[in-house]
Amino acid sequence: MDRKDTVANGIIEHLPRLYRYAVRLCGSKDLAQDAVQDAVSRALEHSDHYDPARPLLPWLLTLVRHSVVDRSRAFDPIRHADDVDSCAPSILAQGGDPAEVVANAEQTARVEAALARLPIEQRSAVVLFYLEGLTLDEIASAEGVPVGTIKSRLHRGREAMAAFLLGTHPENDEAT
Amino acid sequence: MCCDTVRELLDELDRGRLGPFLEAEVTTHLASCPSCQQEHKRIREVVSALALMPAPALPPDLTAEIARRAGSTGRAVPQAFARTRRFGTTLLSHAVVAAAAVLIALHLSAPVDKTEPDGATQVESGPLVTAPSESEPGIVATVSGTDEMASTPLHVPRGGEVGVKVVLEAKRPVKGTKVHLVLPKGLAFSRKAHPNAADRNVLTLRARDLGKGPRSFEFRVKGTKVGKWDVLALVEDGDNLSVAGATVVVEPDQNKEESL
Repeated sequence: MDRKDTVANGIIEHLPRLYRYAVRLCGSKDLAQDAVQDAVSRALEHSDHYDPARPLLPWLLTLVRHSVVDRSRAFDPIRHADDVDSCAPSILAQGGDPAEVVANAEQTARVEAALARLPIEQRSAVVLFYLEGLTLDEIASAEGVPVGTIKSRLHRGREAMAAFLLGTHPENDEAT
Repeated sequence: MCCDTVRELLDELDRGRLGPFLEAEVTTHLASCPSCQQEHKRIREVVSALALMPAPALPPDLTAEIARRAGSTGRAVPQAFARTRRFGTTLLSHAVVAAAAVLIALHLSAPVDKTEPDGATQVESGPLVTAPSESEPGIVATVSGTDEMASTPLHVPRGGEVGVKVVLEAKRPVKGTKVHLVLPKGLAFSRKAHPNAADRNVLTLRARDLGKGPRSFEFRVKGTKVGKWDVLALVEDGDNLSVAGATVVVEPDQNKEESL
């Protein structure tokens, strides 16, 4: 099997994860869809650059992140934190006590807003580690930085999210 | 062991990835260090908060477009299945991967009785409906559960097993359908339920002629590695292919400390 076959098969296998990563990175399903398509095109076009001796997923995640950043340059994820509501589920459709449904939806929106407020480096590390379950080594490979840097980003990201959720972060005063 | 070292290991502790000696060292330190206990509590709170976030579902049109691009590499693609070391048995050709929509049904299932030669079980019930494809309606897989409220992601402790059900529905009679269940590295087929497939990544079932009524196939998979893993079901119906996936969350062992 040549590299292009390996990359193509890997894209199919990892597609759900690549899409989830893109959505959580940029907070917009539409932008994420465009970014994933762009990353896939690049991956197939440059499949000869992929080293088969190394795991494919980190390389694909790198391409997705670059695509998201490129497309986000005119899109401030902090100012547009409300866009994360488009990712919230239709909890009402699942039934349940209306008050609880509203509370759950609000809590989910708060968490998504807190994640969206993180700098992209911290957001990427938090998403890949806590939501996608990648190892520190895999994330370091995808981000092109040492494991120690990933640990630092995770620590700062957690601290910031905790502060946002508790309402103690200084930027909370600027929340809309 | 100093606090800085312990705090760097808390995530791995929650994931069950520390060796027994290191885990004991960290646990002992936590028992007597309120500051590190607070940090550990904060990690868990953030992780619990993140767990509230729903997983964005893959849009069918995106999957179809990606599958089309992945299949259109400008090269001749083989029609026959190719054997690869990675998947152990077969890997779909790109012509097959040039697919239609993404649908899947995952369901926590009870043990079943009949066993197919490949080790999976086949359950027949209800009418069939076909799903749209590029040429004509093909196969649609739908989500269902015993209480009709079951939804993904599925959760299983590491070392535990969970039932997975793929339900096929066709709007017209279909001759010969294959279902390929592809497992990522964090999951394995149950050795007890699928003794011939325990060391493989792909299990293929052949549904003979499909008449009216949904046809479902049940598998049991084991969580081998903590993390979130996507199971893919590729339903091959002649020239049509439906691709569907669902997430299985493998959690640390229950008798270890609680974590995501």
